[in-house]
Amino acid sequence: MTSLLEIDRLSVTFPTARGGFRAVDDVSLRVDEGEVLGIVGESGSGKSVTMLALMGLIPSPGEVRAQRIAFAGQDLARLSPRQRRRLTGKDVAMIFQDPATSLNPSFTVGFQLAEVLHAHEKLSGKALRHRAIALLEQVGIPAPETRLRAFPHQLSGGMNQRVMIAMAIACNPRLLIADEPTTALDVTIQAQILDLLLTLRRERGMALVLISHNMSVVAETAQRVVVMYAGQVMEQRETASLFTAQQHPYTAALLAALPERSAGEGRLATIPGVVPGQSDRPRGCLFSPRCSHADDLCRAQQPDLRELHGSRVRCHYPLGVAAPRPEPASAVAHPADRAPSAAGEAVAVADGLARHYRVRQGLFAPPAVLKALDGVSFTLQAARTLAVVGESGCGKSTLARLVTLIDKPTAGTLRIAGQDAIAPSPPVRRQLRRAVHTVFQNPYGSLNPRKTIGAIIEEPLAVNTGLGRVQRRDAVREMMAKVGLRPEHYDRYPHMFSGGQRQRIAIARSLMLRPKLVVADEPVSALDVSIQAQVLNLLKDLQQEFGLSYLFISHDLAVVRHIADEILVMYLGRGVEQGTKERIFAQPLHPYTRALLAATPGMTGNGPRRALTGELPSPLNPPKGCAFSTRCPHVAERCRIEPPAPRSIAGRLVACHEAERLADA
Amino acid sequence: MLRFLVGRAVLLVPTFVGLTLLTFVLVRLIPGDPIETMAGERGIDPARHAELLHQYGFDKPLLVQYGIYIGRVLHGDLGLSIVTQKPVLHEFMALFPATVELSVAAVIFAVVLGLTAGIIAAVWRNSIFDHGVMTLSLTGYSMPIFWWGLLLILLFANVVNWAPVSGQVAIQYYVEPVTGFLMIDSLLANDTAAFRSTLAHLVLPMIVLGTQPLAIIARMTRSAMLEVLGEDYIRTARAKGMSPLRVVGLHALRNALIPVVTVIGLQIGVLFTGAMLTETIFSWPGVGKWLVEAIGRRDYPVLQGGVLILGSIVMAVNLAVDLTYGLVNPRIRHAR
Repeated sequence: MTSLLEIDRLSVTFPTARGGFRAVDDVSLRVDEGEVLGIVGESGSGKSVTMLALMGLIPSPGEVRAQRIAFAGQDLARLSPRQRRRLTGKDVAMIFQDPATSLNPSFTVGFQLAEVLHAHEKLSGKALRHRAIALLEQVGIPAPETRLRAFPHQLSGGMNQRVMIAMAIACNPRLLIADEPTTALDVTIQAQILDLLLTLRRERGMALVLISHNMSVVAETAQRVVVMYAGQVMEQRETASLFTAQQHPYTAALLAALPERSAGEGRLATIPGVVPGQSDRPRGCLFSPRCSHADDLCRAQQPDLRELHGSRVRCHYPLGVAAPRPEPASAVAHPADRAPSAAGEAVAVADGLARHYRVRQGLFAPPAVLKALDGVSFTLQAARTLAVVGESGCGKSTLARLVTLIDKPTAGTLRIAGQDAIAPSPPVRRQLRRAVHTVFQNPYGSLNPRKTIGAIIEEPLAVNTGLGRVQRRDAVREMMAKVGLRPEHYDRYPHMFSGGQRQRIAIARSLMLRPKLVVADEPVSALDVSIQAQVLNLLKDLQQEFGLSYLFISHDLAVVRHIADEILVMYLGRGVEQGTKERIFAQPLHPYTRALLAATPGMTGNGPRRALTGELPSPLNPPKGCAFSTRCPHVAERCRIEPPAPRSIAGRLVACHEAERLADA
Repeated sequence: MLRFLVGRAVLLVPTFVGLTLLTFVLVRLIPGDPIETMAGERGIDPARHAELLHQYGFDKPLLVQYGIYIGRVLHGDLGLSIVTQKPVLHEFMALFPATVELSVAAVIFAVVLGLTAGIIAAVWRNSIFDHGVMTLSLTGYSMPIFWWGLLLILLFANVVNWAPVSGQVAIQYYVEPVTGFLMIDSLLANDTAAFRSTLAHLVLPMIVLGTQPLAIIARMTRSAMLEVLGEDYIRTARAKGMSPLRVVGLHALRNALIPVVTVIGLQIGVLFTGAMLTETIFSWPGVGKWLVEAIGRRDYPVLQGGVLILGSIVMAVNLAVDLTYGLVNPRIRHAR
């Protein structure tokens, strides 16, 4: 096999006020013709920058140095900018993380696709149109002729990513680089897109570089994996032996932090600290400050990348095949068992909650009704966690808005801490405001950048209590210590903290009034896996300490299995399956729950993954019978006519006509 | 889109009422009255003064005067100029083309130079060109129009002799008015010498009037471009192998134009204000100069009528700008 791409000793340096910052440090790698190479690592590990350097897309002050970057035997450094442009987009193509922002909002999909074909293949007129339609068809976009005229904002995220892929494969590239292609997408759509990429690779014999922070995605897709950390390659090996014979402690720690690889109970193994930035790069091994195996040699001298048993590893003390995994330092201290809670006290009880919006459709057309939430019931006990799961648009966040009293339901009842939460009297309302608090998804957007974190955390106290400034400050410092922040950082600003620390700040703020219920809306989905493990552990610890109940909204079933007691699976505004975690994960009954599980990488062993076809129907125009009938593999005649009511089967509530048949099968 | 249009149109009504009220009250806040001003230093007999005030209806209560005024405006009657006794609308229509010529030239000057300078400054961020453009635009923005105009007149009248500093056309040319636009009329009359004279006369007032919008457009374009150039879709366009010219001139500019168009629209109102000063300085026979003279004469109907028409034009232009959003931004076009 010949190497399609050879990168030899690539470094990328960005000049800053305090000297150069090496985002990529002496990276060498190769990609063979037709191969799938996975690149994994936390954010800041340099995986994207490496590939952007190959594409010639490093923005201007950045400096790219390499002994050699060769594509198909051609040294890229010797090409003129014009020759290089003829290569990028044609022979080497790239797709990016967020399809919503990666397509130009001002031009139609057809225009953006045609541009590539025109630039590289000089196509125009009818030939161009036919090619464009054929491409959209190939990437699985229905009604391609009409979609050519659509603007990106008129398509869903999954469809936009398909358009990106169509653009990338338009000129039959020999190498396709996919930079976190599914991170911004729902899990069912993620499975579809990964399948599409693999199919296209097989059909066209192109090589694929898959950059991802998701180890499970890479493990299912790639033949070879490169693990990067702080700009360096730490380990490089065949995927087959990734989970069993990893040699670098960093790889081992990343794998151990995956919730899907934990037993489901207890604490996750974490990696302390964060990826070093410019100012705190250690002298020796870059991973040494976070490594549980590091000794004086590691701290003094940087190891080289060396061959070992057919793979490459950058470590003084590579883990032998038989050596034990690194001891997760924090996994022992806390007992995994939950202290029995105050028996059966219901913190939140919802019955038939609905939120309908009237949507104006035109000047004279009657308004349509959008059923964002249509009859959801649940009971959340004290010190328990109810996880709400489903794709975007299923009503998860609407439910969160109702429970946090930000919005009012149009039907149904909601009681929180024994009080009516729909039309509470002003004093009850004040009580409820103290009893329910929220942790949001994006720790970068949910903290006011102009306030010190002390001021941010104490705000609930200042608004809701009569405590004096000194008392508030003491309370904040105490809470900061509890959530693992240093109390002396009281006067710092949010931008000085990493994502995980910011989420700790958000958690501390939500706990200041000692709430009974915390609504956590995707609290870890913006975080790296090692940080995600830290935050999940913290949430569990705090639940025990304060007897908190969580309404935990997530699309990640691996995380849900780790943290939840009860699960509510939602689809198009309704609960489709509801029960204890054990029951649902042991035997999912609703076809949608099964599809979600099957689509989540790493959840179903190594069996073939069946992608759910199609996308969520428009809530303005839902299917007549069962909402899921348009995508269901078990759909029967009855499902298309009559919406199923939730029934109790095998110890959980299921809204499916075919549930009994599926339970027996 | 239709809903948006109707909503905007309905909003025009209170704006219009406010505008009439404002012009009506403001001109009456200026001390003195038209009769006194016409009499000048000679003075006037108090009885004759009262008689004339009564004749023009200026002795009625303000509210009544306003009611009469509004009634006439709604019938399209803006009244007669007290000084010339000609209909305000006729005078306005006769002078307005000159102002339009000047304003259009200033807008073209500002947009062309401003966009170009802003784009180049953004692409070559932190270069000498960038710093130069930003310093110059800050200077241009801070420079009072009359001061800038006087400086140019000093320079061109005394030091170099590249362009005339006063009037709309040299005195030896007579152009038969057809459209009222001197530049077009001179072309229609096939009088190239007169046409060149009008062009030469336009240069300095255009620069003076266009300087502030130019500075604002350049800064706005630069910051909008800087923001857009960091967007993911610009990276995508580069990854597709598009040429730098296409990436900047098409993919980036199309999106950066959205805020710039807003600013250009807002400049139209500023432009009319500037036109008053510019026309006065350069003796440009337009409505700006006419209004400034009317203030001196306390010519209430001219002031009320002129400001009202100009205000309506500004409102119409802003409405048109809102509509062009739909053209440059498909997300608005499709929003319900």
